[in-house]
Amino acid sequence: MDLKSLIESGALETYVLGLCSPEETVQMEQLLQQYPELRAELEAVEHALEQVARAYAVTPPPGLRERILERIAPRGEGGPQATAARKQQVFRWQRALPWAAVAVLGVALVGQVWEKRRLQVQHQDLSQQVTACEERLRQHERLQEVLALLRDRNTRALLLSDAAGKEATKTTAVVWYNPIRAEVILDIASLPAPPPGRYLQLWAIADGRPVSLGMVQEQEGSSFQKLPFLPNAQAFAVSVEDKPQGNPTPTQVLLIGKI
Amino acid sequence: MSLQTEHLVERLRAGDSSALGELYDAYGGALYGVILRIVRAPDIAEQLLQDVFLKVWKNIGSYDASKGRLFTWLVNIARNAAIDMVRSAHYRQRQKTDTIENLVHNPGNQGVNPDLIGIRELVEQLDEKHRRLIELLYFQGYTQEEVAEAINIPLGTVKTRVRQAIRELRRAFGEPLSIFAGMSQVGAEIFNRL
Repeated sequence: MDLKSLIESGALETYVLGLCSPEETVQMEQLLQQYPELRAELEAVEHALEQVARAYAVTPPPGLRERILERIAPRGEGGPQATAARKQQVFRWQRALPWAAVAVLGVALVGQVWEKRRLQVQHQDLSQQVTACEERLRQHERLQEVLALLRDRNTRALLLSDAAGKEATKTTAVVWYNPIRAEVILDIASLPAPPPGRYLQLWAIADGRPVSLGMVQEQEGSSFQKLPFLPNAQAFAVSVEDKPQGNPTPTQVLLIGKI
Repeated sequence: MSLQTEHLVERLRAGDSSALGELYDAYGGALYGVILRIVRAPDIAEQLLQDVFLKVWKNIGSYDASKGRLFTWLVNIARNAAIDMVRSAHYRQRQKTDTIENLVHNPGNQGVNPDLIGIRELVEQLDEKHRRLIELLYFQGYTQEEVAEAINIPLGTVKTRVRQAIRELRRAFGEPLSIFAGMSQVGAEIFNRL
């Protein structure tokens, strides 16, 4: 093809104005690769039209530049910077997740500990009340036993009185004795407190010899002390001893009462 | 393509949004002028210019410097967008009901770069038939067939007349391209020696 007549035909201008058909365009592109003269002519035409467009340039409305840049930057359709920013956001979010979990667990743990402590206190209160109730019930049952014994017509009251025979001393004690039931109960309410460092021991006199029935003990909630039953006992006695566990034989007999 | 333009294209391809800002500063006014002369409504032209730059941002990968200058590629995107708009049913309906002010509005007098007024005068001084041809093809978005019909000359004559018009402009501008090309070559050599 004659290059000169191609140039003179105005085909290059048509190409620059974007008015060529697709086939013409492909053809022109191939020719441009082949012929540097054609390429130089193209640049001259392009430059002239660019000058015309620049001469008739109109300043776009203010703010349009920013709106365009805003639309490409944050959404970042293909912009690598925006992608990087998005990655960083994801990264930050992922880093915060374990801390959030730790915080939630921490709050739950503190709540749990606090609740446990509250329940422990409540449990302690309730078990103390239960213990107190059980104790009261045991006392009540013991009194019922005593009452049952006292109501029995085979029960006899034995008055223990001063062993020295002095009428003036008011020191007495009562023993409830029932040979059918084989039960003996001592009412210690009227017993005197022993002198400091001395202890009261209980005795039965069986076949003329004293047999120890144990020490006088503080009774919880009542003054009744149950004693062992000896079928061949003839009398009961209270002595003052120098040892807390008592002695095999009475040291100083305080009270005595025959059956 | 100048080294500066080449670098700008590379940055756009790398997704550098500041390069799009520089592209806007360099060509936004010229592209807005072309769009405005075709659609003749500033609000539509503004929307179209925005669309054009977003399209350029997305499609910069398809620009091939061996097929022409960057500005030629840009102005064809802008002109096609404007022509599509003018031919849309929405635009035609709007033009029917529009007030007269958009039609009498003369965008050519806004925000002109004083350095380019000389070139503008040269264009104004072109032979009337050449000036009208440039106006219709470059600024009105006419096809060559439409121009041939509008001014009642054969299609072949339209093509050669466009050639003559642009040659006239080139003569008036004094072919600055070759001078610039030579200068940039000298500049590159000096740069390499530093």
